[in-house]
Amino acid sequence: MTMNERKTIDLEQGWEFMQKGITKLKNILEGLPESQFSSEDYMMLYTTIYNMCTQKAPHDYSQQLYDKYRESFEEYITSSVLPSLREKHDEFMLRELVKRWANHKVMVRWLSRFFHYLDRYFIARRSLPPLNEVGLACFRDLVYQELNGKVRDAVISLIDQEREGEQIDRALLKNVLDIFVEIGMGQMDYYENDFESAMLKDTAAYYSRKASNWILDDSCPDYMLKAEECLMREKDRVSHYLHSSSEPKLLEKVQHEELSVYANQLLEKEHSGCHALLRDDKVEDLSRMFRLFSKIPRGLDPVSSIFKQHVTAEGTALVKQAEDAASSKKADKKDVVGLQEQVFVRKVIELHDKYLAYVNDCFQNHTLFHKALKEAFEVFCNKGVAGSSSAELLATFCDNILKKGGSEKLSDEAIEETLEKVVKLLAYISDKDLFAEFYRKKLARRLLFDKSANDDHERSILTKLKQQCGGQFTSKMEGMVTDLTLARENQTSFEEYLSNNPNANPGIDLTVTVLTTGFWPSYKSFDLNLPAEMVKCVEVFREFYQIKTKHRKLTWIYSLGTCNLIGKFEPKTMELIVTTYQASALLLFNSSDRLSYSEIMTQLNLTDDDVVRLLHSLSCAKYKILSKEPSTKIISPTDHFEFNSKFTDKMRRIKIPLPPVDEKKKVIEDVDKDRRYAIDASIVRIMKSRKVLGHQQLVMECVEQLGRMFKPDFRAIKKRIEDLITRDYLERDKENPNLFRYLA
Amino acid sequence: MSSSAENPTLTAEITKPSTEIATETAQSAKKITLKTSDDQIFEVEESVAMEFATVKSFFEDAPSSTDTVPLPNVPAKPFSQVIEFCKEQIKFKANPDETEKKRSNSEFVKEKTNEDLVEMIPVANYLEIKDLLDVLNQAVADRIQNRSVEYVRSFFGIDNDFTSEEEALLREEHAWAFEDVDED
Repeated sequence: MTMNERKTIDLEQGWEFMQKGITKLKNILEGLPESQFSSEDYMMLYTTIYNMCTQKAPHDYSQQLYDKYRESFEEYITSSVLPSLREKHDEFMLRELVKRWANHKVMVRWLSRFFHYLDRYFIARRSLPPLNEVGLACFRDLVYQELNGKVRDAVISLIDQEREGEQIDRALLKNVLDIFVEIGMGQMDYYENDFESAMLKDTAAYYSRKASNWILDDSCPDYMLKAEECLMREKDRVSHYLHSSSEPKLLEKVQHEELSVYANQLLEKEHSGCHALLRDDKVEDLSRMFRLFSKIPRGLDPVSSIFKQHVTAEGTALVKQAEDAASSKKADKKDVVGLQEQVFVRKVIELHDKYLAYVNDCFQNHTLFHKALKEAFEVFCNKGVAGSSSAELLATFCDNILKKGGSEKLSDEAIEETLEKVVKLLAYISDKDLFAEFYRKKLARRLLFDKSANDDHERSILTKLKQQCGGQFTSKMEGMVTDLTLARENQTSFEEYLSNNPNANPGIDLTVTVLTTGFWPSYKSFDLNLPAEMVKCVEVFREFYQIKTKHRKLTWIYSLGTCNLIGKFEPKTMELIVTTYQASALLLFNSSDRLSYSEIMTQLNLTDDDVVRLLHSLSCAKYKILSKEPSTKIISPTDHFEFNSKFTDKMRRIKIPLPPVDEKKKVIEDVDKDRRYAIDASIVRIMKSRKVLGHQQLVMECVEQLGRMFKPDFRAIKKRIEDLITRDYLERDKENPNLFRYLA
Repeated sequence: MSSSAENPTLTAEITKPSTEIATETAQSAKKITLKTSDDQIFEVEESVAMEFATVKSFFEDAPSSTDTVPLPNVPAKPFSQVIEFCKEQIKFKANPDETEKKRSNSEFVKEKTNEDLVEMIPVANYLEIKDLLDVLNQAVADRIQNRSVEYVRSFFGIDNDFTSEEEALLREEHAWAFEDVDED
């Protein structure tokens, strides 16, 4: 057989042959004149190893060949590679290293092919490092270990040169750094420990130096431009020659040195810092600021807090402005519905638009900035202007938009948009219940006196309010709007009823608006002695209503009524549009020519306040239907009144206004009362579930529960607790007076 | 500049088929010349030669070499059988079908004499043809399974170098190994 016929090769003879091949390889690598390996060269070298490894013991030379394989590399490195590297420096040394590493890899490839048979059985069976690894390890142990420090310094110095704007050979650096990676044979340890950590340290030092100069010389926008530029360059650097795993670490270093270290100094720069950028609307710089500071840990905190301060200050300035305008105006004209306040709400809306756009655009919709905006608006939106709370101002503002002939002339779209924004502002107001009460008051006026400009807008704002504050918030308001629709239908059927029952007709046109108690603000009722003509009307309607419904009680609110009277004056007959109160007072003069204050008061059964008010409107205001004795501008209980038959006006039809009672006080009182109930209910709810609770905790939970509607006053809560104790809902613990128990 | 920007699709249409033809012809045309230990010349298609890992690894670094490749450890007789196996094998590379491949492999060894098998093993090992080596080793194992010592000796051409005393002792110690063997 072939194998047996083969002549045994001894080690010395075989190795001599191998060395010839290795020398040829080395010559090729060194660039000496040498022919390429022919297929015969290759096959003979392979066969020699094959044969020397497949000979029977003691002629199996596998172990010796494995050792000699390694020694071949060691010998070449020591005799040629290291000397050539040692004599070169800096960039030249790097070039030589790259060349030598490339050569080494070629040598490993060829030699490991010649010796391949070792890999297949000898190395596999003994779990020895494979040939490829042995070859690379030689370079690592002999070349890399000696030179990596020098190489690292040379690379870092080139990087610094590039940072200073010089052109460097990026491909060279890429090749050198690949050695750090490849030498790890799959592990990044060599790259990380021998190169990366020193590079990061140098980077930190470099940018620390740079930043310390920039912070002194540059404005905040310039500094940020430079910082962003540097970050971009470093990123570019990574993509060109550093390992991709270095990117986050490198950027972190740069961000730390440029941004974290100088964050406060940069943001607080007097003429160009964050305050100044906000003041001057430097949108682009602010966007850059966000981009940069969003990258460092907690970097946005100071930015958002400055933003909050700025918005708060701007808002507070608006409040101050409105306050000043109101107080300067107060002196001359008190009654005019505050145009200044309208302007104030407009300005607040504009402010909100502007800074919401900042949050969305510059600050990329970040929650931190939404929070800052909210907190800032909460601060000044709850301040109130010239004795009016913001809740009232907003309600008035809405009224102005929604009522006929309001001060604002807007398109439908603009109205929708404005309403949307008002509702948004409402979110910042803690006294939402107060807003609801004022809003209801104004809504009632719009609906009852037919002053609402557009039903769709009324419903649309209710939808918006419902979305923001919940169904409970708007249920009464929605009820009011619905009531009015029902009332209109009711009136139609009443008119039908009258035409079918001609006997019942009172001879006066009567329109009745039936409302649901509870939906509407409370009004005084049954306070007036109606003239007989009107009493008949009331009776007729009551009869009609009784037929329509059972078990429903009608309560008449005369204070909200209007009457059209025909006044037969000497110059001409005129139509007077007056309130039911005024009409009742005037009708008294059908039977008497002259009446005293006290007679009027007794006959009408009204309070002094009401009598004064309505007599003033008829005798001292623009239209003097009654002449007063003495003829002064104020009503006193000793005055006498007479019908002024000489009265005339260029119009045929006039409306005699009766100034409304100042409702603000009442609204606030009503809200206070509602709040007491709300606090009571909340305390009882909490205690029912907790049974025993400390004072502090009870107050906190109560505030939390009610926060959606209003911000309860601590003292008010304390008072309600005392009240509930006296009413035996709660008791104080006998040992600890700060502890409350629920009494079921 | 503008013309190259206008006609990229056209160029692609022209070059693509032509390169395909070029590679196909190169593949079918390129033969590799191999010389056995008994100076026989074999011209095999490159794809067949590339089945020999030993040969392939040389061409990886010298793909354009046209030299005759000497195979000093390979005699012509088993080599021609090895080539026959590799040609079959290549078909399955393009179109993998495990059952068909198994069938073809067992057919291949079934036709071979014991001597054929024993001669092909070192060739397959030297040329590093892993599939063939596996097939051969399994075939040999199947053939010597449950056979007598004498049969195995003659199968591999091994001389008995035990003295008759030594052999008798071993047979006594491992008596179980000599029971119930198949007839030669």
